Amino acid sequence: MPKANKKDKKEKEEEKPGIRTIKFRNPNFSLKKGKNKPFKTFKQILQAENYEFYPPNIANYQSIEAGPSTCPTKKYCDISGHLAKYTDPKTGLRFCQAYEYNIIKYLSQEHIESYLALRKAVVVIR
Amino acid sequence: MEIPVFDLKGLPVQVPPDISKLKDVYLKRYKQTGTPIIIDNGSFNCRVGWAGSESPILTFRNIVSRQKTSKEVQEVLVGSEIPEADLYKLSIRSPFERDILQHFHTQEHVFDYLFWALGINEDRVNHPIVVTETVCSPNYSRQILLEMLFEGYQVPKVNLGVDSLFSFRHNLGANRSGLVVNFGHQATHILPCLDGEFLPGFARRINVGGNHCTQSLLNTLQTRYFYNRNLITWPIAQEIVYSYCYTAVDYFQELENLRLGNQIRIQLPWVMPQQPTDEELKRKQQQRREQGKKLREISAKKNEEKKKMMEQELCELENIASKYRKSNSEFQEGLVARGISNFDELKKKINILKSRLNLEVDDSEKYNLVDIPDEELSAEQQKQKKLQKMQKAQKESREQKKAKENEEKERIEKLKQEDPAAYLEDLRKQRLEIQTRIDERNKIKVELQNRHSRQSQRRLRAIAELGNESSIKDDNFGVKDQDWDIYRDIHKDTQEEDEEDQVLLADLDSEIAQLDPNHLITIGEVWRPPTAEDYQIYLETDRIRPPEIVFQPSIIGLEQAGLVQTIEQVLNLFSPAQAQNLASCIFLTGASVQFPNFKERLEREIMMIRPFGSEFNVVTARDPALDAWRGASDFSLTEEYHNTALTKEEYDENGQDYLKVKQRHLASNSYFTTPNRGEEPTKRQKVR
Repeated sequence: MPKANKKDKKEKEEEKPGIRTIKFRNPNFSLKKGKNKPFKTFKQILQAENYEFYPPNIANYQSIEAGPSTCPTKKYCDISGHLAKYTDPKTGLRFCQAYEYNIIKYLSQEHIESYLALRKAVVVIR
Repeated sequence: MEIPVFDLKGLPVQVPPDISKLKDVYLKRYKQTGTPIIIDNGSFNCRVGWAGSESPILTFRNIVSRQKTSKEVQEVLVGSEIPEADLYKLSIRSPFERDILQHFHTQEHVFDYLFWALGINEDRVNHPIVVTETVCSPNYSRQILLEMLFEGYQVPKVNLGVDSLFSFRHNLGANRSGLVVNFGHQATHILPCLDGEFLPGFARRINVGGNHCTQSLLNTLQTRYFYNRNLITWPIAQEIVYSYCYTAVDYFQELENLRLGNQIRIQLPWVMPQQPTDEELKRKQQQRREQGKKLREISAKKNEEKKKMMEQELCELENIASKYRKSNSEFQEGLVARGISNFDELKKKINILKSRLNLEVDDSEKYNLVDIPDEELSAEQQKQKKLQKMQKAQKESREQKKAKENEEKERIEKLKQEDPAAYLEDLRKQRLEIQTRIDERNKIKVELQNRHSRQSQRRLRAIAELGNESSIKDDNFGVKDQDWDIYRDIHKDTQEEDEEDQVLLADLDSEIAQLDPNHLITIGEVWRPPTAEDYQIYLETDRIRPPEIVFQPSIIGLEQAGLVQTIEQVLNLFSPAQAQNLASCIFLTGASVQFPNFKERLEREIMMIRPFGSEFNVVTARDPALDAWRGASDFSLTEEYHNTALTKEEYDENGQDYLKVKQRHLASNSYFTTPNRGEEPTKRQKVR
């Protein structure tokens, strides 16, 4: 009799609202083969593909990356976004008018760094 | 000029699918028919539907949230099941890293969810499947994806394809030449197709997508409104990008135009903070004043007590001194009781007490040696003379100082009587000094909250130096008074100093108020009721900046070439005739090309890079977001699908290598077996 009871319970569980019942998946299948073997990270995946050994005419994830820009990049004001003519030598921030320079003068170090981080120009001193 | 203010309406809410309806559809129309299931597995949205239908029946954000609760509720939530408030939390996971499939457990949850939502209730997913993938998807991702589908769900047939190429096919038909530009969520692809064949060797990817547009706008706004940055969130940035951003046809011209007009303001949601009433303010002031008064009273009381004690002591000591010579035994007893060795010491003590009580001190003996020339003194006395000289000089200087202070006091008193305006000015100056001191401390306090700020770093360094044992051994720490300031520096809590200054400030305030009836006594910050304008975002160049990133990735510090430059590079790889063929049909797809003017901008810039007078054509997909799914749906009904799909039997036989044998279809990636590393590089030996 206890077996039957268990079955009843199982059926009841399946009927619970809000819980997905999944029949279609192979119960013997599991993605994790070893418990301590996590999936590769983005970098590891790219590394494991051995892209440097590909013949040059075969395309791969790394080879289709667009090349660097060939023309000089435009410089924009960090505060307003307009074209910048000047760079503040003290902070490295770009500006185009006295108005913006006035703002730059009173920024805290942290704030300056967060401005520079917008264009990945933070100089890390170690 | 008035700048229009817009309110945020909020992003459209995700509508959870009607599961029972989907189940009905499945049971009535698709059960055991073997109709292919089309899954457009994008990094932003996942779109699922049955082949042959108009549009996908299931669209949801491709994200998964894990709950840690009891077994009563569903443990893993997918897409529209996730409550709106949790959507932007860190615990939300996407199966994608950049644009390649990486978190396979998450992908498994997504598959579980979508097959369940479609209503499949057999013990396997007995439908062929089309899954989209990114261009040149790594073999590792494909391998695990196929493993999951064939082994986990026992799917009979799977075909993989690139989403943008499906969209191209859906819009323009097969066997067309064209340059497909796919502006997606995570990356932008440029894919040349000649006569219906995709040429992966000439494709290019720029690592900028719609995601980067939103992220850059968010970062910019958070930096600009540095002290309000917690109010600016991802959904707000997303909504601004959707509703107020557009592509500039001529970026530099548009920058100038925006300087003159067309700026907008966005009203952030805000709540009026509780305004302290006048009564409350007054009560606070009163409290502070009373506090100051109390402190002063306490110190006065203490001084009084001390004075009394000293007087008593003096009395006793003098009593003992008076017994000198008269009754020697009593005198000696008194000395022993007080721990004094001889009469000189007793005198000294009496003198010290007297000077403390501001009584006249009998100086005659103290400086008795000063006026006697050196020759008449013994060596011991000469030493004492030197000491006395020094003491006398010190005393005189002290008196001078006192006199000066008194003079200053008198001057102030005089000033107060004769020239109240100047006196007031003086007071105000003092007040400002205290106020700046308080402000400075508050600033440091704010900075200390950030562990990376300069103040925090300085504090930590100070602590480290204090703890460094080697420096403790012999560095004369504590000889100078300033040395002890270090403990003030490393102490985060400055409440004591604050309170001292507050009392001083209150005193000054009350004094100023006596002279100047208009002076508002405000302690600390001036409270001003915030207005809606304090919570507005001003958008000028930010309106055209987010979409501009794909044209100039240098804006966010990426070194890659922009979209148009890359198109030029790609076209230059072909012969002029082929390039002309490609340029005659530049096809835009991907949800992010829906920025207004995107097509016009591209047309204008492509005109610049093409030979003079040559023809070109820019076409936008009819529905840039959904056409990829529709293309895949069309494809799944063709003969080509069945010829190029991988069946379970083939998979079981060959493993993932099957892709090598299989024919390519229009939208498929080319397969190339991962090469071996060759010889293991010999380990470099350490040379010493």
